[in-house]
Amino acid sequence: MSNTPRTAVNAARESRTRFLNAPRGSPLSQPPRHRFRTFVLLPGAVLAVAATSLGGFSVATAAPSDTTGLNFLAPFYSEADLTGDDAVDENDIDLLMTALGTSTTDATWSTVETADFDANGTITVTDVASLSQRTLYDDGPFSPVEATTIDVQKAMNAGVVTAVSLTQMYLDRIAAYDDQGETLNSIISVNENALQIAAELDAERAAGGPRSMLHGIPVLAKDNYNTVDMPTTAGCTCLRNNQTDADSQIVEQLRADGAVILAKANLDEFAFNLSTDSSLGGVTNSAYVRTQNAGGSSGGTGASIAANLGIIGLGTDTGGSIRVPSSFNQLVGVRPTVGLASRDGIIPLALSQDTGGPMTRTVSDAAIALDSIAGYDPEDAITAESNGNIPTSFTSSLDDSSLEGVRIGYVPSIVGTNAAVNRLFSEALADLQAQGATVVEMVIPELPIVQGYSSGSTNEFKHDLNEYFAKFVTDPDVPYSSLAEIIAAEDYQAPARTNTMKAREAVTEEQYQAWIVRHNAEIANGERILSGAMDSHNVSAMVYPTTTGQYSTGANNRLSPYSGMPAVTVPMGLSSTAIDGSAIDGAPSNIEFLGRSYAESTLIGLAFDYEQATLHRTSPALFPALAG
Amino acid sequence: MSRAASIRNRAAVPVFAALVGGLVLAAPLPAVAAPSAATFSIAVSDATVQVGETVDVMVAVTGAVDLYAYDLSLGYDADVLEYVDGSAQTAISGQSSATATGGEVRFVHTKLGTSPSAAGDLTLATLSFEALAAGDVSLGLDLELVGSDAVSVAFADAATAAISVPAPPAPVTTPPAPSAPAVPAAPAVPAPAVDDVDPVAGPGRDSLSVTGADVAPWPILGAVAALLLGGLILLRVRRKRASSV
Repeated sequence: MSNTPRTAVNAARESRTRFLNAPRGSPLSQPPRHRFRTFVLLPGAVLAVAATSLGGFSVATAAPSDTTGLNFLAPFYSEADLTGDDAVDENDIDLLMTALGTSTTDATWSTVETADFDANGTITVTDVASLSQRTLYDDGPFSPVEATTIDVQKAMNAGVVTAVSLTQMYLDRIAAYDDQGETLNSIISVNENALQIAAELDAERAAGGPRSMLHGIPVLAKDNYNTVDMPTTAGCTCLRNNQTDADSQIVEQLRADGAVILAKANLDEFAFNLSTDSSLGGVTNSAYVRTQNAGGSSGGTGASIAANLGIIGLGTDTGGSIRVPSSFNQLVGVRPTVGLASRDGIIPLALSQDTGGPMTRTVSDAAIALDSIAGYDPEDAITAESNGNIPTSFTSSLDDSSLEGVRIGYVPSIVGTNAAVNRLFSEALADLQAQGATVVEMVIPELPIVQGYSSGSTNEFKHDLNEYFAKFVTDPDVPYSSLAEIIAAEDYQAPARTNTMKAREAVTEEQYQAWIVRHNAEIANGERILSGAMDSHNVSAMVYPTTTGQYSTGANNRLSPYSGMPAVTVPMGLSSTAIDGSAIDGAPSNIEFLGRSYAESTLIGLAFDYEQATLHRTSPALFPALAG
Repeated sequence: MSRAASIRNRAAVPVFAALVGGLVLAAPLPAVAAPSAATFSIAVSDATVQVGETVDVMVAVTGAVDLYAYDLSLGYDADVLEYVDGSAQTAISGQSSATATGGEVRFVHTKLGTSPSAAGDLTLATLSFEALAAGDVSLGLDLELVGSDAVSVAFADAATAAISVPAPPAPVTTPPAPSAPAVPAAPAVPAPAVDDVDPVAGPGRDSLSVTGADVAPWPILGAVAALLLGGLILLRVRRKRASSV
C-alpha cells in the first residue's frame, strides 16, 4: 500500500485548493460546490461540566457539547425543539425546567406547549424527562457492535468515546476478524492515517463542535471510490498501485462532513457480477451463512458493515450491487436516483446506470449518509437534475408513522416461488398494513418490457473505464492506460473473466454510441412505465423482495437501474428450514421500496417506519464484541 | 402549588428530632413499579447552627430503581434559613435546576438522552442554607420520581429533619477587671424575627446558648487555673532534669 504521508483531512483541503486554483476547463477545475447546507462552527464543546450556570439557579452536572452543527432533523429529536435551533439540547431542557408548572391558562403556554408530552395541560417533571430523552446524549457504556451514527454522536457528546477511540475500536475489529479468526476477507486496504485524521477531528470538535452527524464516523468504502490516502483498485491486481490525487466526489463530501474513511472494501472485480470475487481481494462470503457468498458487487462493504467493522458503508449499484449484498447481509441499502449523487472519481461500470449509495445497519444511518453524498457536481452532468430535488435533510423523513395512510403497491408475479421469501414477503405486507398502509395489488402490463432490457455493463464498460483512466489514473506505478492493455497483460482475474473482458473490449465506439442512445431511451421508458403504474394505482411506492431466493438474486434488482428510479432495501427476516423447508437455514432476505425519481425522502420514511416496526436485523453471531 | 404550600406550613411547626451528627427522619415506602425507591432521608451537617453560619442539607434515597428524573421540594422556614443560591447539586449525571421561593427549594434533575437511569443508594441533592435568625426549623420533603418510561410516582412527606438556630449571645462591651465584682447580667438580645420560639429555654438550646452574664466569670477562673497548672509543670520538669544528671 503506497500511502502518502499527509493526512486525508489535509489532503482533502489541498485537493479543494487545487480545484479552486486550477485553470477553468482543466480536469481539476471545479467551482465551489453548491451544498444544500453550510457548516456552522460554534465555539465551546462543553464536556462533563460540573458548574453553576445561568441565573444562579440552574446547574448542569454534565451538559451536552455543542450540537448545533449536527443538523439531525429526525422528528423524534427535533419536533419538540423549544429554542428554534431544530435540536433538543441543554438550552431546551433549561427552558422547560424554568417553565415547570406552566399550564394552559398561562400566557407563556404556547412557548412550551410542544413539550407537554403527556398532554395533561401542565409542564411537569415527566415532560422534562421526555424532552431530555430527545437529546443526543448517552453517558452509558458504548459498544461498537451494532452502533449507529446516532449512538456515536450521543457517546461523543457525553465524552464516552472520541473519534480516536472509536476508530481504534473498528481497527481492532478489522484486525481480529478480517484476516484471521473468522477471516471475513472483506477489506482490501486499511487507512494508515485513520487515527491521525480522527485525532484532528477530535481537536476540531473540542474547539468548535462537530461538523455534522458524520463527525468522526468510520466509513468503509467499496474499493472503486477514489481516495487520496489509499489506492483504488476495483479489486483488480492491475490497479493495485492506483493512488489517485483526489478523492471521488462522494468521498470528498463525506470527509468534509467529518467522516473518517477507514478502509476500502472488496468487490466483484470492476463491479460486475453479484457474488464478490476479485483477483486482488479474493472471495468474500456473507457474515451470516459463511458458506454463501456475500452478494455483489459491493459484497465487501456488505459483509464488513454487517460484521461491524465500520459504521457507514459505501457501495455502487449498476444492476443490483448495493441492494443484493444488503439483502444477503441484513443491511439497509439505498440506490439513489441516477443524478442525486456524483459518480465522479468512481471507477465506472456503466454510467447510464451507475450510482453510489450507502449501505448501513439502519435506515437512519443511510439517511445521514445520503445527506452528505447528495448534491450537484459539475464533473457529473446528470447531477444538475438534483438541483431543487434535495431536501434540507433526508433525516426529516425518519418518522415512524410514515406508513400511516399511505398506499403501497406490489406485483404478485415478481415475488417469486421460494417458500421462505414468499412467507417473509407476505409477513412484510401484513406489517405494512399493521402500520397503517393500504397494500395494493398492481397490474403492470408493460413490466416485461422493463424486465427485458439489458444492462449497460457490456456495451459501456470499455468506454467509461478508458475515460476514467484518462482522467484519474496518473500514478506512474500503474502500467496501464486502457482496458486493452490490462487484457493484454492478463493482469486481472483470468481466466474466469477473460471471455467477459474480451467481449467488452471488442465493443467499438460506434456500437457504444448506438447503444447509449438506445439504452437511455429504454431507461426513460422504464421510468415512464413504472412511475406511470404508480400514478395509475395511486401508490407512493411499490415493494418486492430484493432477492427472490436464499443467497440467490433473481431479477427484481433490475427495476431500479432500468428506470433510473430510486430504491431502498430493508431486512425483512430470515429463512427457516423448520418453517419453510429451506435448504439454507437463516438466510436473510430484504424487502425493497421503489419510488419515483428523487423520492428518496418518501422511501426513507416508509423504510424507517417498517424497520422500526419489525426490527428484523440481527447481529452476526460469529463476529461478537471483542474481549476487553 | 398546594404541595409546596403544605411543605411551608409544616416547616413552620417546630419539630425537633434529636439525632446527633445530623437529623434524619426516614420514611419507609411501599415498593412500587419503576421508578421506585425504598427509603428517603434528609441529613444535615449540623443539627444546630449559629446565626450567620451555613448548614448543608443532603437528600438521599436508598434502593432506587430506574430513576431517570426527579422533582424534589424541600420546605423550610424562610424566616430562619435562607437557601444559598446556586448551592444545589447532585453527583448524578444529567442536568439540574434549582429555584427557591418562599420557604421552598425545588430541585429538578434529569438524565440526558438515552443515558442509563440512576439506581441504588443515591444522593439526590445537596443544598446549603444560611441561618438568618434564631428558630427551630423542620425540613420537609416531597418528591416525584420519573422512570425511563416516563411513568412517574409521587411521594408526599417522604422525610423530615430538624435544624435549630439558637439566639446569638449578647455582645459584651467592656471586659470586667479581674478584681472587680461580678458584672451584672447583660440584658438578653432578642432573637430577630423569631417570636414563637424561646431562644434560651426552648428545646433547641445547647451548651453554647448562653448569655453574656453566664460567660463573665469563666475567663478569670481560667486564668488563675492556667497559672497554677503552669507553675506545677515547671516544678516537675526541673525536678526530673536534676534527677537525670
